[in-house]
Amino acid sequence: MNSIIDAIRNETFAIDPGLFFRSLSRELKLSSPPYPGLNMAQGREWAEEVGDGLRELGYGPSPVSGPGLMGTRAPLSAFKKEAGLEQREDLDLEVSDRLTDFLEFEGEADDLEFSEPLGPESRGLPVRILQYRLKKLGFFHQEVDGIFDSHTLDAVMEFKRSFGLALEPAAPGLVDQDLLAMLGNPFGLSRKIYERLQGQPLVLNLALPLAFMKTALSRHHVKVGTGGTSKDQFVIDPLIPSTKEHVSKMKELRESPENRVGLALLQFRLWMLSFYDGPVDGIFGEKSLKALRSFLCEHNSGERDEGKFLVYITGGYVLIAPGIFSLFGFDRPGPQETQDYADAVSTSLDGLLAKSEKGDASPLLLKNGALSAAWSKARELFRGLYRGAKSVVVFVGKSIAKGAIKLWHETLCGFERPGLHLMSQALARIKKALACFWQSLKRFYQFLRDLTVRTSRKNNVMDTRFQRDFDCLNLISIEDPAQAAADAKQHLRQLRLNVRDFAMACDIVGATIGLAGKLLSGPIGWLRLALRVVSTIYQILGKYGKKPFTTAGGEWA
Amino acid sequence: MAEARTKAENSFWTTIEKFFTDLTTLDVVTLTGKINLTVANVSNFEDILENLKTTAVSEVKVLAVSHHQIDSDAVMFVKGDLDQVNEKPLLAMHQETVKAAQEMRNKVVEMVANAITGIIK
Repeated sequence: MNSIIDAIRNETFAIDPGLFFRSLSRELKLSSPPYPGLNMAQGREWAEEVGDGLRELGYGPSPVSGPGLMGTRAPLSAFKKEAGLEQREDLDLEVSDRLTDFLEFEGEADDLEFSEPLGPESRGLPVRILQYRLKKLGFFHQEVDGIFDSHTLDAVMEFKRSFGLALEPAAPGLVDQDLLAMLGNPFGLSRKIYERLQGQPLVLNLALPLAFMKTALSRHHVKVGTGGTSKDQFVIDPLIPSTKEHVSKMKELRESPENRVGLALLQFRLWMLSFYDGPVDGIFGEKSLKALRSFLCEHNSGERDEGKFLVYITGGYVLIAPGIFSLFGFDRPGPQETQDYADAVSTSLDGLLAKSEKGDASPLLLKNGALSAAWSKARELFRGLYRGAKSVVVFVGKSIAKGAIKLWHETLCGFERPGLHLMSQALARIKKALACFWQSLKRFYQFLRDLTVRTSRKNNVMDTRFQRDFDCLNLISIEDPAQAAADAKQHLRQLRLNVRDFAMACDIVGATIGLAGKLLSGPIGWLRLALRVVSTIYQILGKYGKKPFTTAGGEWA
Repeated sequence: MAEARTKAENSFWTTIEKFFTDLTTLDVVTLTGKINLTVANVSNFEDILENLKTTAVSEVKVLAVSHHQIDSDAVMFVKGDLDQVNEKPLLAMHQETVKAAQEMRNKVVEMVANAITGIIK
């Protein structure tokens, strides 16, 4: 039975809405903390999350070393003390929720009040939160310790200057409630930096990212049209010469403070969406570029204005239009985004499948008449199955999206923040799992058509050909015997990888089809099925040691 | 129309039956030598062997042949004068290929079983 749907049916979530979200989180292994305690593994996972959160706020160095909260007690107690909470163990769950609220960048008002603005010599939880937020945004580079020292003061002043905030002559580094809230609101910061840039692009030097340039030039999805105003996009003029003035202008832009802050904020937003896991420092290295490329690829609408791009490369520089911040959102998302997201899931599924369809057709050449006829029939059969399966995957994707919307409108819209947050993550996971299922199905189908593993080095060629009934022919052409042993080793390695992938595909396809037997009618039934399928697919991925897909952590675009 | 449909259905079931019948045996053949074949025009063993016969290739040797029944009966032929240095690694490769093929076949059977069990339950 699925605990989430059961909770809805039993209306237990009406009594404790948190239960629903935690169940969803646990079911899909999302990043938010799960409910602890039914078994030791879950309790440990929860304790680890709490420990990580406390470390982020500079409370405790010791990692969790046992079940429950062992090793986290002292830091948790310190946190409770500073937060003015009771030292009762039965309140640990609520405390951990509170902790999460401080750590997340949701753009909500802080559940924390302090009577006087923070300044030099201030101490305690508000200072920790201030330091944590400044650190994540790339302004503070020390350890979080809850003491408003000179480093903290410098970071606050740099932040104020960067975002055009007034520096009071008498006390330039004071932090009030509003400023702390602003630091925790990435949507507002995005809007501010967008306005501050006044149409000026973010500029990167292209000396390093040759790979990025190649990708950007050769793959159209990197050049994303936003459909915004001309301020948000570049109109490409290939005739712009790389003149001295042009280079000097680019250099000037690149060295401006807005550019560094803009790039740092861009890194931060990419980090929030789990595209980027490096430091936020405004320096765009390979990691940042890779993250940017992945982000752009995932947010390609498929349509773009003629000759207008979000990222443009000219005269040795990568220019990023300020409009990129609008992709991350200037306001906290509302229910409409759920609908948009679900539509995007359906659209991207269609795109994924259309792409697969295109890549599928290299006619086989067979001369033997009888075999050819048999193969032709078999191929038709497999193609039919393939097409049928494709329709099912598309249908499932759309139905799940509908289920999510229905669930949202009928039950969850009262709990906007956690509901939106988790629903978006859940849908992202479902989408990825469906894509994974589809790829597995495709892999299986491709095997049924033909599987050859080939290793070719210099004059030695090794082919392993499988027939559909798994009979196998090794063709080993050796002209350099001295290399034969090494080549055989290499070939076996490749063969094992193929077998492993094939085995995983079989597991995923078998398990998913098996689960389909438990299908319930109606959109909620589809959603329920999806949750089970996602859970199963992720277990299989874990079994084969494949890295799980990353999910959006905190919001969706 | 009805006749064509019946014919198509028969063909479908024959294909399925053949597929599962073929699954009960497993043959792995390893050939070595100076083999000159183009990939595009060979997609099954019969064609490959036919091509090997007709192409001007002088040094094709059968290194090993394995035949496995699903009930675990197995036969393996290995070339007599095996070169310990150059051909032994290739024999190891042959044996690994047999394992790979068995693993893949088992996985397919397991997949069908999982799917059916899930649906019936």
